[in-house]
Amino acid sequence: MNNAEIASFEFYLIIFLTILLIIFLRLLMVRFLKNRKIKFEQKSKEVFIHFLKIIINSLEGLEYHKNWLEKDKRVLDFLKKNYIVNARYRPSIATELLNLHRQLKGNAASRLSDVYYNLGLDQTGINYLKLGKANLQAKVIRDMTQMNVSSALPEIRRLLNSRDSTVRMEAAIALLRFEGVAALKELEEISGLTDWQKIKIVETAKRMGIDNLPNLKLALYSKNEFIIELALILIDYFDLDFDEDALAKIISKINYNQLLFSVPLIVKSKSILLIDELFRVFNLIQDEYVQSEILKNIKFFYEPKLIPYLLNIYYLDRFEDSVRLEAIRSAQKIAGQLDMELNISHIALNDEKMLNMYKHAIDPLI
Amino acid sequence: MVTPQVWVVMSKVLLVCEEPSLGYTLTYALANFNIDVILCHDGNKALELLSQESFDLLITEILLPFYSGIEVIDQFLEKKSLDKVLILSAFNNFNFLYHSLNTNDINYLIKPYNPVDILNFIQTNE
Repeated sequence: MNNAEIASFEFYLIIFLTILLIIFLRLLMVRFLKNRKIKFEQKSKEVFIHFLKIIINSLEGLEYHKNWLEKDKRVLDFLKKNYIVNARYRPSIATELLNLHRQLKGNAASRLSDVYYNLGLDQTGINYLKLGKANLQAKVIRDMTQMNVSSALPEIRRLLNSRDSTVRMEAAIALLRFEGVAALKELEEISGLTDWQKIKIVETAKRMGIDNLPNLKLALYSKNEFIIELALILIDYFDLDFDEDALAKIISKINYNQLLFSVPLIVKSKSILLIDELFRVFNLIQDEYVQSEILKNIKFFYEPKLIPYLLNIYYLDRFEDSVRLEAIRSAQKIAGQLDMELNISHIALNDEKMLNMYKHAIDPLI
Repeated sequence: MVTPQVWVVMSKVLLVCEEPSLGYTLTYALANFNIDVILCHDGNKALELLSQESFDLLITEILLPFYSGIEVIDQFLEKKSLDKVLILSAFNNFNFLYHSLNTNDINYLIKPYNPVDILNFIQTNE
C-alpha cells in the first residue's frame, strides 16, 4: 500500500466514523426528546389528577351550581398560569380533560366543560384553527365540537375548504353537529372526500337523529354529489318520504354510488315509474359489480312487472354471467313470493350455461 | 336528580378503571359521600386485592391490562353474588358477557355515564 492509498483509506475511515457519530448523536437526541415528552405527559397527568382532587373535594355534593368554580378560582388561576400558558404541558392537560369529558355525562360533564372554558382552552383551540397544521386542526375541530365551542364556527366554516381532506371531513361533521338543520347550505361546498371519510360523516348523521338533520328531501336536489348520496342513505335509514321525480332524475344521471343507494328507496316506494327508469339506464352501466348489486337488491320488490326486465337480462349474453345469474335468481325469488311460475324460453333451456344458471336459481338450498 | 349531602356508607368498594383520571374522578366523587373506594388500574392488581381483602361491591371495566374484567368478576363471585357487581363499558353489546357469566342479569353503565348512577348503585346495594 503506498502513501496515497493510505491517505485515501484514512480519509474514508474518518468520513465513516463521522457519519456513525452523527447517527449515534441523533439517536441519543431522539431518545432524550422522547423521554422528555413522556416525562411531561406523566407530569401533566399527575397535575391534572391533583387538580381534579382539589376541585372535586371542595364540592359538597354532585349537584351542579352555575357559579361552582368561583370559590376555586385561585386553584384554576394557578393551573392556568403554570400549566396552560406553558405550551409544553397544555396539550396533555387539554387531552386529559377532553378524554374525561367524553366518558362522563350529567353534572360531571358540565363541570369539566366549565373548567375547559375557564382555563381558556377554547380560545387556544381557535388560535390553533387559524394557524395550526392540518393534523392539529382536525383534532382541534373535534375537540371544539365535543365542548360545543360555538365561537369557533367561523373558523370551522372556513376549514370546509381546507386543502386537507381530513380537516374538511371534521369541519363537515362539526357543522352538522353545531348547526343541524342549517348545515346543508354550507355543506354544498364540500368536495374531494375519500370513501371512509364519507362513511364517517354518514355515521355521524345517523347518530344525530332525524330531528337534528337538515331537510333531506331538499338535499336530493343538491348540486353536490356527496350530499345526494348522504340524503339517499339517510332517507332509507330514517324511512322518510321523498320526491319520486327527484329520484328519477338522480337515476338518470347514472352515478354508480347514487344508483346503488337509490335501489332500497325504489323498493320501498314500490314505484313502477322508478323501475322503468332504472332498467332504462341499466344497459348503460359499465360496471359488473354495480349491475349485480342492483339486481341483488331489487328482488325485495315483489312486482310482476319486474320479471320481464330480469328475464331479458338473463337472456342477453352481452351481460356478464354473474349479472345474468343475479337476474334469474331475483326473477325466481320475486316469482316465488308472488306464487307465479317462471316461464323460461326454450332457447334458455337448451343452452347448457343458461340451464345451469336457472337450476342454481331454483335450488331451494342456495 | 337530588343526591343526599351527608351520607355514611359502610360498603367497601373495589373500583377497577384503567384510565387514571377517570378512576380518580370517580374515587374522589364517591369519597365525598364517605364511601370507602379502593382504586386500581389493571386486572392483575385487582385479582391481588381481591385475594387479600374482602369487598362488598365491585365496579369494573371489562377491557383491562393483564387480566380482563371477566376474570376479576369471576374471582369476586367466589365470595359474593353478581348483583354486587357493576360493569362500566364503552360498548353496548353484552352478548359475550352473557355467555361468559351465564346470565343476562347484570348491572352495567355505558360510557358516557353519570357518576350519580354509580352512587345510586352503591346506595341500592347498601
